[in-house]
Amino acid sequence: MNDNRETEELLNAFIDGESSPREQTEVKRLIDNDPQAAKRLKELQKCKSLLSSLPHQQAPSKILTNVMAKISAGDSASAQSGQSGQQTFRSKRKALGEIQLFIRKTLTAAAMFILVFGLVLVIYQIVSPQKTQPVARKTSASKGVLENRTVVKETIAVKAEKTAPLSNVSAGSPVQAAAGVLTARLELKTKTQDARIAIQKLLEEKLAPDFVVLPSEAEKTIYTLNCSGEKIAAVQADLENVWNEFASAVLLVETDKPGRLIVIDKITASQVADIASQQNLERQLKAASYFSIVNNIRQSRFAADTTSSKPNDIPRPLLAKDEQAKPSPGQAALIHLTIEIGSE
Amino acid sequence: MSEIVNKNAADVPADAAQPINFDEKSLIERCRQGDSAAIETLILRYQDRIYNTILKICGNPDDAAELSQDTFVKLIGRIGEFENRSSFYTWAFSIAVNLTISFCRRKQKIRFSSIDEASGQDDSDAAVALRDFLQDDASPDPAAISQNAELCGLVMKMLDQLSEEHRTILVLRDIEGMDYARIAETLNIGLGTVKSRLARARSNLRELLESSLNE
Repeated sequence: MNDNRETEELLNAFIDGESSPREQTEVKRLIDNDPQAAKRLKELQKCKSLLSSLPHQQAPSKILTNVMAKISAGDSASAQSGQSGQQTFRSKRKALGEIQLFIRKTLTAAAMFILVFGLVLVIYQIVSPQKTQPVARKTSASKGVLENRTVVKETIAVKAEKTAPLSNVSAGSPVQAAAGVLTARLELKTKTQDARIAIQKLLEEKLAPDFVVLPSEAEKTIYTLNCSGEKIAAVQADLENVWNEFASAVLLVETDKPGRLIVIDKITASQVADIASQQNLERQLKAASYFSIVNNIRQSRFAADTTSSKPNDIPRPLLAKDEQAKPSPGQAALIHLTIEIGSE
Repeated sequence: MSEIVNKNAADVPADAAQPINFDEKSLIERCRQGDSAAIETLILRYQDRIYNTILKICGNPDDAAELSQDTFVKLIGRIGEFENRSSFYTWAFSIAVNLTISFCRRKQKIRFSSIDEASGQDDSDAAVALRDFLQDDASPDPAAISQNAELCGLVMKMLDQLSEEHRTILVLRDIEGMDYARIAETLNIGLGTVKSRLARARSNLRELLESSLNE
């Protein structure tokens, strides 16, 4: 049985041209020696010939037409689901990627813009108070003193009240005086209207545009100064001439600590000039502190002098009777001092 | 020995054993991209051979046309899955054969009944022609066979009585002209299986043909 099957396979492979050279030799020997094998080979060959001789039919033309129609009509969509699904997924993923990239770029650009804007704002905050004010003054200087004063006055009026600190003048930042420039507030109480006009005229002529007149009371005029020591020194003599007309003169110098002021009461023109002539803010503040203390002492001394019946009669310590001993020879003098403090 | 080999090889249909693969890669690539002209070219290139193979397996021209359409629609639809590991020819025939065998199995009862009905017809002329052919010791003339419609009809009838497995392997080998390796790839079976199945299929066909002479 197995031999027959092997022979059948051998003969079939032979007629199909699929046998190896060894198998071909074996088949040739077989058909030469075995008439049954030779007959079987012929039968198989006839079988093969019958099938291979069957006529080939032409495919109906409707196959192409129908297939193309199905594909174009989308009937093949389900068949193509694998491929089209993949393509759709790819295209969707690509589109999503592009959108994500665009959003990322936009966010990066926005972040950069905000960062730059923030930096500019910070720099502006730091730089602008010192830069803008002189520029405003310089530009307005050409338009005349009164015009300049009015413009600045209006600006300041919005921001500051009568008691506004000096920082309002410098856009709220701590005073950072340049070398030899005095930034301070001067409050002058004039005895007469003439004196007021005189000082106003003098300042406008000599210090414009480095001063601003703040809203003032009836007799008190408040100026903010931002001028160099040289300018003040130049006008010092004139100032001293009108200074006597003032009922009071107070200079307020802002320290490097926001909100803390050095108040110099009864300040004189020469003291203003001295403070302004200092090279830097530290020295200006020292000078201002010094004058503040000195003026306060003077004021208290003056007040003491005016209230005391005997201004210069300071009670002297008295010696007790029994303490008035004569020193013995060869011994150091021994003095007992008793001070009585009390009010009479 | 080489003469024998050559002679045997010459028995294979002239163009049948040669897969169509000229410029096939670019054609397939264009089909993948949805180029309708390329799809049309591909269908025209394969439709006759696929139709004939299906027709010989299923035995009905209308079913063969329908199955050919389904084959091409499926083939175009899944062309993105084709990975060049086998030839496109083998892949296409694999789809066609699988569709046809599935169809034949579904329609088995109907087909047998139609055969029973047809068996009543007069095949005497065909039987005479077949007896002459089988008993003639001379080499068979393929042209004479193909021109004898009755004989061809009888052979088709006998072929139709074979199992799908045997019919398919005979069609692929003797009509389509595939070699054993390609048959193994198309049917996804081993080379030894091809040899044994083909031997049994030819033997069965021979018995059927001889039995038809005795009826």
